[in-house]
Amino acid sequence: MSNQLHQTVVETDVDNDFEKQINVSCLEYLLMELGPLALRITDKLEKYSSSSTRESNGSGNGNDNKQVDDFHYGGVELFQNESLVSNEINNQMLDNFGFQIGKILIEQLIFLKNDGISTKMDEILDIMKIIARDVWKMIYQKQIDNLRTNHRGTFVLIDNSHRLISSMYGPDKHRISGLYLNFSCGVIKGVLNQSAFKANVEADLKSDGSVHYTIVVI
Amino acid sequence: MSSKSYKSLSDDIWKNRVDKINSEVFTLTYGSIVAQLCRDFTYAEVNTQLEKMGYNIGLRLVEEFFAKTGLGRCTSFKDTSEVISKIGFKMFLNITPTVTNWSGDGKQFSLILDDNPLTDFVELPEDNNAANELWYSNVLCGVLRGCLEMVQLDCDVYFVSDVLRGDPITEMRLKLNKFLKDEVPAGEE
Repeated sequence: MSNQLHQTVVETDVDNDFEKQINVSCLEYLLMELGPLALRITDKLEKYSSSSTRESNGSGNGNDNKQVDDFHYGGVELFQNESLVSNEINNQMLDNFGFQIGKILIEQLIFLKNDGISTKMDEILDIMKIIARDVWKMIYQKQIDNLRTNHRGTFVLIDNSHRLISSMYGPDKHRISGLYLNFSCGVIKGVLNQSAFKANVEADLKSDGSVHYTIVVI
Repeated sequence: MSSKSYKSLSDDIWKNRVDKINSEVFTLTYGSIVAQLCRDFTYAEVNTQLEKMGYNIGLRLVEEFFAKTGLGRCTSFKDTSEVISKIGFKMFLNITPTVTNWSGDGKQFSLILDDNPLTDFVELPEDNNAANELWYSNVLCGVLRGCLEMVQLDCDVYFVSDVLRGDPITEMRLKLNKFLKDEVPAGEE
């Protein structure tokens, strides 16, 4: 990417407009649970479809397909199921969770802060700034650390420490973090979609723990 | 501890030891999760999924609870009810549900939620099934069940009524089944 533009995201205050407050942990717990939730849903949906095929085959005793419901909730066994974690439906679902939330958040931002933030939405760069600054702060309590663009429709957002992933350790980190990166990508797509832009978004977890989101506007 | 000192403890925690955010993102996020579930499942299954989700949260949330409160064991189930309402709900959702409707044997009580951050701006789908079958805030039942299990209390937690369904109040019921025994984890005897 030649012709890079470096921007340090400017601090703005998006709080204080909404008088009800809650503990930030509530949101974090909820977002962390999205991963297991998606796994359970995927498993259930797969079982619906596979049980109907198995019945028609007349060979279904169910033992071959270990039920996720038998697992101990709260444990990490759910994440050990590799085929489930890398399942396409599952990733699609997290992407979609993010998409819906991104759509709602950007509406809410424009509605609540119409005097606070710049609501100039016709330039894609403005929208990227809103994502990097305001949307990220709403969801992750921190801003994107760096925003780059080649001015030809490709943007790279760099988050030095993803709020949900930075606390993960162990050999499975890469695999599991993928779930939450799908969610983040969904958020970006949701915001862009609501602003009438379509884009491919890919997230890449680097070895130093930072996450690079590459956004290519279609 | 008296209920008055619970209140001052939780006020202090809320004021000084909790990072706070506006509830809107939380409310909206939860809303879109429920909406997504409703697309995929029957309302009964949605209730189950929300409860499971809450249970997982409860298992982890209890750690933060003890880290921030430094509380020891409750002396009675009555004591527990006070702690749940005045400290637990207060330090996470900044609400204090009313404890009421004790059963004669002291093993069941209700929490009345006058204010529920989960349901701000929420309307149930218009079909009658939702109002009859969906417990929108069922995640809270799971959270309480998970937390209580971590302190060796085996409880059933369920909603009895919800203003979202058109009921006059939002009422959660807690029922103590039994005390769980302290168990030494396998291999650590």
